[in-house]
Amino acid sequence: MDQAVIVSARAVGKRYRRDGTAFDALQDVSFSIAPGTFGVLVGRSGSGKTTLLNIIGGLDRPTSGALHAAGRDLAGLSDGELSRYRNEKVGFVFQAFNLANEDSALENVLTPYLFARGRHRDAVERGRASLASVGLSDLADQKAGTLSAGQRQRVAIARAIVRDPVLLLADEPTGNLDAETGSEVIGLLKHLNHEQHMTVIVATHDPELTEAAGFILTLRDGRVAADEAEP
Amino acid sequence: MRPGKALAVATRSLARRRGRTAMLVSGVVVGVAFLVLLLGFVEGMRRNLVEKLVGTLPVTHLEVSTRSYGVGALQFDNPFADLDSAAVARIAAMPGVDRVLPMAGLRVAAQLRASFFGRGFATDAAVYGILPDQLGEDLPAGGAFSRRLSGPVPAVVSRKLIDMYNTGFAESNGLPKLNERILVNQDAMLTIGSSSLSPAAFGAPVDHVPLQIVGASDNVPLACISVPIEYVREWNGRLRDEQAAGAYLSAIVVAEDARAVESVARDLEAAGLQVDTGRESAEKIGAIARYLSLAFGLVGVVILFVSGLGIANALALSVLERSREIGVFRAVGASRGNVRTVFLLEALLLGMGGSILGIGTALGLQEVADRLILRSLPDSPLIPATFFVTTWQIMGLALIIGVAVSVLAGVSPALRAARLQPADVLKGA
Repeated sequence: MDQAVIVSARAVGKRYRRDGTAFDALQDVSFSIAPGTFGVLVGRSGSGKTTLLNIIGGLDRPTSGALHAAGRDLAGLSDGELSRYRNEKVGFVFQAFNLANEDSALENVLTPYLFARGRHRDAVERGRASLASVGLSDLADQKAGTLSAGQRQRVAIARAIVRDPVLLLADEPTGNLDAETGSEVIGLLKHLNHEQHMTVIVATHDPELTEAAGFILTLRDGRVAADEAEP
Repeated sequence: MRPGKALAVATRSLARRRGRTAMLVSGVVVGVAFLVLLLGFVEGMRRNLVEKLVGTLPVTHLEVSTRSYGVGALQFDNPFADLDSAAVARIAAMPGVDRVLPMAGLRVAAQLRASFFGRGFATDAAVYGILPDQLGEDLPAGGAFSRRLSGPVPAVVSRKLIDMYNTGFAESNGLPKLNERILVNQDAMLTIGSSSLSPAAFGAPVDHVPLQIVGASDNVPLACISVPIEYVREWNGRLRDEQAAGAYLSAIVVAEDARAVESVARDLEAAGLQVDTGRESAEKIGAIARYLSLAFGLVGVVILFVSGLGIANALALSVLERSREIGVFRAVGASRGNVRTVFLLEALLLGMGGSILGIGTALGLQEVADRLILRSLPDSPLIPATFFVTTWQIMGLALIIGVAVSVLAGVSPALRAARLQPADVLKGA
């Protein structure tokens, strides 16, 4: 894979079978993303954005085609290798935050370290730094369930970046937030992209996000409608 | 994923769902406690019977009984055969027999009165007459255990009886413990022809005989006073009749060697005598105890199996409830194996916690049951200090079964959790 490409998809397809009926969530999707890009996947609900994001992040596997990410051919990885790829190279941000409400913000941020090697002391240090980078150092010991929606999404972002991933994947990160808080979260993602040169890919149907995007891939019914690199 | 981290995740998950965890643990507690309680009772029964009451005879020794019926002083004559001097002589002449040690039972009631540590007591007593040879190495020196022309009658008590007094009667009554040194030369009074059941029964003559304890032995019958056989024969003749004077209650037949035991036993049975060895009784009791252990153990295992089903159901439900959490774990780097490990560890912790608490509960219940049972029974050296013996083996077995049932119950939910597709469970808001 080209060193100047962090994600490369070639004719990626994903077919689901339910009740004996085949359904193509993705068909013949090809694109490349350069490292440090702020990329956006746009399209209506059901267009295949989440499926593609999951495949890039190693949460799902394509049924056809090839996908390389962070120097790996994801189709050829075992479950253990794919898990390590998710742990070391990828950070996920979900629309529903997916935090453990009974745990503190810091405990949530440290979740990836449960499946990583290293000393607990170092992990805690890294977790606190990660919370500080999203502006929540004062709330580290507060239970996630007591935080506001915007704060919870920030905790989720801190969890996603705590392992210094090369890819930050966000699936509708503003979907459960009001406009103002959503703008703050998007600002934070852009900040991480600019300051830490992290490749950020956001799946959204918010057209505003496309304005500052260096890469836009529009999906329609599982197919690429248009993709454009930074002008 | 390091075991320590997996353990931390499993512990945290169980702590979060305290109510359900307590319910599942209590299921294991009940099953394990039941198992330990029953196995401890059976083991206690086996030990109390085998080690305290039956004892074991040396391999060359056979006990030939008179086939009379009754217990202690309450004996009924055997209508089928008598074991008298002639019979003893015939047995002694049998091939493979080294010697015969007849035992005579006092055929009238008797009461023993003695005083220890300034406290007097009286008890009904069975009196056996034995030959000095029967005492073997325990025979007191200087002919102390033999017919005397005058003075107190020499008597020997069972060492097991002293042990039972010390561990049961003395402990529960706060009395000082006895040992052979204290007992030797202790005087007592035997009232022959009288008992608490029939004082001076039916106008029968009563005889007051001073006794002196001259020793203790493992080779004498358990719950009785053993005196030189001539005394018993004389008392039986005087207080009953000539036939009673000449009859023996039983005899120890000593074979020439261990190889001869089987043929001697066969010859004795062919002669119409009842042959018993302590070992056979012990083996019978041991076999009964094994069957009871198996039966009671199965009941415990069934209870554990039911609690195992509860664990399986609850963990399966937990997989559904925690699907999103599992999805997040997978998203941040957990492999299928990690998820499987966490769920199996939860089952293991439930099993271990429940088993340890169950064993503790059983030990506590055994203590309570012992106290209640002992309080309801009269003080007697024949009553054991405890009815339960819970060995390390029983506790280990219960722990292993408790943990194994829980882990087995956790296998299916753990596999189901590991098979969850993170992309599916993380879908939607």
